[in-house]
Amino acid sequence: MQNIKEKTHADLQKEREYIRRFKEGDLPAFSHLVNLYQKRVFKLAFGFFQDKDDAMEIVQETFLRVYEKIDKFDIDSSFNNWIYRIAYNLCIDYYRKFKSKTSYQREVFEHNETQNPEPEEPEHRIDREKFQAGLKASLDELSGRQKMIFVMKHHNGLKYKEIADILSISIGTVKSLHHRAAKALQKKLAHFQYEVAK
Amino acid sequence: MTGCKKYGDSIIDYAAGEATSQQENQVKEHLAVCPGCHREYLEHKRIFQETGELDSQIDQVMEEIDWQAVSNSIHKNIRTRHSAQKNTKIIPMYSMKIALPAAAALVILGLLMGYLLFNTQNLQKPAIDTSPEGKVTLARLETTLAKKEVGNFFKQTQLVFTDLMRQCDPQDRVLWWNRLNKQRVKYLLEKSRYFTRDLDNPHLMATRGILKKIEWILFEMITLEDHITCRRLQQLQDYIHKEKLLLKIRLLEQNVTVSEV
Repeated sequence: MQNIKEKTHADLQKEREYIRRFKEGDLPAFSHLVNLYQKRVFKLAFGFFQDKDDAMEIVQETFLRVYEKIDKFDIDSSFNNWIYRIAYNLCIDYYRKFKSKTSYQREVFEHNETQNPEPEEPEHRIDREKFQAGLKASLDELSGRQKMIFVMKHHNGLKYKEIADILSISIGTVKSLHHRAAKALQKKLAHFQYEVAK
Repeated sequence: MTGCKKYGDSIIDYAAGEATSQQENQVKEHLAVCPGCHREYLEHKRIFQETGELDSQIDQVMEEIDWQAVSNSIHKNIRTRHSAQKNTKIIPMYSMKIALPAAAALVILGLLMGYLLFNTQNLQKPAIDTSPEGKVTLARLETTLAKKEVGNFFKQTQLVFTDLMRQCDPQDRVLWWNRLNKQRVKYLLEKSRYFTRDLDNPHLMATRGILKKIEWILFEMITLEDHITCRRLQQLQDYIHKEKLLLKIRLLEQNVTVSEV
């Protein structure tokens, strides 16, 4: 995602040319676009799902959508934002559909927690892995939009403004969703934080 | 801690590196005098940092992926999906010249056959035997027919579920689904709905529980059509495995077809 900023004018011109040719039905141009974007879409989806197979499915589905909807894409707008928006919507969609799966993961996590509480032992230190497991489970409890914005901000290193542009929403909305997500996570992970502080 | 609440969002923005210079100065001043908010700031900071490092293995994961193969499979999926769509498109106009008269002839033939069959049945229909022995015979006949139908349904369901248990390749999902033959799944779903809703034969009551589970799986299989994912397939496979459904269906099928009426 950081590559967005690094794109040169020449790169953008080249990309635009591929899009124009693809809109006219040129399949090799589509292949170039796939090669340009597949890793970035994968990175976004992997950050969201933390699962290679899920991320790969989002990559496949995103490019199927791009192929089917290219006629509707306005060549003067940002292709980068458009493709991320498609991937974002797919992630949210999958996330909602498989909420049962994530709640199952949470149950497993909570079960393990009750099985191995060990908080009283003074020498016990919550290691990083445990904190990250808690973080992953807590991220799964956020709403799809909150989770995606949080991941885009801290995992993909985007600014509020960039997220707002990609998702076509106001900066105010991005901020508000981010604040809510941060507060919810802080509340859920307070127990771990305390352990670590000890 | 007085007035800490107003710094809540600013602390988050500051920890996330999104605070304006004015906000930054205010937050810094406040944090210097408020240990509670300072701790909150550190907590946020840690969560943000850890989120950024959640995918420490991503570079390795990405290196292991054959991106050319991914690109090829995207093209393959597009071709498969589009050829499937083409096959379902309306018959072109030139073939309509042949198809329309043929269809009309078939309809007329069908109507004629139906008329003849109906009349023949009416002519040959025996009077219903209302005696107690006659009622018993009729009930036995109905039960035998129903059992045969349910037994046949179980046989076909086993075949579909066996296909479903095949391992899914994420890069060949659409092809995978096409091989499964959705028409057969739809047919079985209709059948199972009919059985669970309308079948009140006391001899078949035992199959109700399994029928409901089968119906659920078949319905899930139909909904897979638009967004097929290996993860979802895996869930269905796990469910079938966990519930030992294939074994139960086989036993029920034997029970239904073999048992005495």
